[in-house]
Amino acid sequence: MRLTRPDRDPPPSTVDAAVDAAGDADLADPMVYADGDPHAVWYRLRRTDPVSWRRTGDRPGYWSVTRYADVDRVLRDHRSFTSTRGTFLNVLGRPDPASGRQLAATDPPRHTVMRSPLQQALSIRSTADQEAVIRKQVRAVLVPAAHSGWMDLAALMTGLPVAVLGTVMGLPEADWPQLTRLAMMAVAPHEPRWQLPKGPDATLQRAHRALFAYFQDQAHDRAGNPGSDLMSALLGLQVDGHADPGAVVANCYSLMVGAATWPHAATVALVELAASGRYAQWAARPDLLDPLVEEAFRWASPANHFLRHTTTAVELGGVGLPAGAPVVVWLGSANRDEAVFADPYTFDPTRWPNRHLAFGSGPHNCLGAPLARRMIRVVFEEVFALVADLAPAGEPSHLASNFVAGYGCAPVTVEVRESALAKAGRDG
Amino acid sequence: MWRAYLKVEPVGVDDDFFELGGHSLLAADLLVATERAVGVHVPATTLYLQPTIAELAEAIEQLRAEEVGT
Repeated sequence: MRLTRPDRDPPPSTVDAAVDAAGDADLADPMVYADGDPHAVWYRLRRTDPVSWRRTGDRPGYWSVTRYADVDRVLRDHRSFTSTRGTFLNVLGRPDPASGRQLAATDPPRHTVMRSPLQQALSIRSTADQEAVIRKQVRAVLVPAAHSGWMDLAALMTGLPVAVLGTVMGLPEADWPQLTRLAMMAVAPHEPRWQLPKGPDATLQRAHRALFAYFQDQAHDRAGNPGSDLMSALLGLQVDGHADPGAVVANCYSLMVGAATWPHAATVALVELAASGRYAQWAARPDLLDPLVEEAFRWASPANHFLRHTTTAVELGGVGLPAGAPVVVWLGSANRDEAVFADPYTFDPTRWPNRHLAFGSGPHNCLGAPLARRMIRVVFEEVFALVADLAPAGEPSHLASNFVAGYGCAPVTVEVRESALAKAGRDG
Repeated sequence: MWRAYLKVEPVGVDDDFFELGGHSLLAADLLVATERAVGVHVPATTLYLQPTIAELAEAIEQLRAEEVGT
């Protein structure tokens, strides 16, 4: 997705025309994120039509929610806005088979019971041990690429989530490249680099089946011997007090595709620092790592939307919604809301507090957030330690997906620190 | 068993589980039930690659033969 600044760029005199031109784009269309300008659309919608019915062509319509306060309300108020009828646009208009069995598609109180053991296994404390593992994975891809003087940040980061989650779940390393490809096919089936020749629907279907089959066979092989705390929590998942094999694989799948969105936070932040010429300045400020990580997630908002359905007639942002209506919240829009963030179109690594909604909010806030934050922090630490300066080496390309927001390709030139070069020389 | 899981009738031995409305989550349940009924573990990849009753039966025969052989 383009990360434009509609209040400055284009200049204010032409902003209305530019925003009007983008204003009617269909935000459900994955191609809008590859070629269009979603931030310009959201900018206009937040001002003129913050809660509005959108319908384009044959696609089922939905209520679009763009302001921070309304997005936050929809995500928190699970009594009025249920998750059980699906949580992504790709299931809009048909029942979600995972309803009540996948955490994302389940409401409290059942959701709370299912989530608790997983939350424990993915807590800040439990994931502390993973830091060394993450660091090793980051170095393995970063060091050879940096020494070549050029790297595609997007490609570099693509494998990290599966490597990190695969380690935490104890999945064999030989399976990681295939799992990464399948996870990318599932989150961005319209993206040319992941799409199968038979088209996006076949790509998504293939990814679903292959990932479910993979996790099912893993679950079978580990019955009685899960091998890690997270796997143990996953295999122990019950629905209404009964073991549920479908729930086990559906939640393994959720974790994997959720994690596939994380690296975009690091990629877009590094590109932003490189493009602004401020990379060297921020790389020398280890004291700013916490705010930098949060600003990276706000800026990227890598998970782009969530779907809910109203359970009853409800008023949202002054608009009356009927019962049973689909409601889509746009996290990228909430995270640029002028009412909450001062100068929202400025990437500010010192922004604090930074109450962004990149991990959602309410009962379904991202279960993997502690691990995601740890991963992105280690990426920054390792890049800053190795790389003296970064500069853009061409325009990034944008992923064709309404679910994951990020770059498909982000080329940069790299100047490696002399100390790192000397060390590489010593190590031979 | 397929009729019960898919809630469609009739089901032919050459009908594709997924074309009949089966989805990945249902496949997970069906495989566990199949394992209970026939006594051999059917790898999930088998159903995904061979999603008809005829193909599944053949795979189960083969798995049984392998079990006897070992």
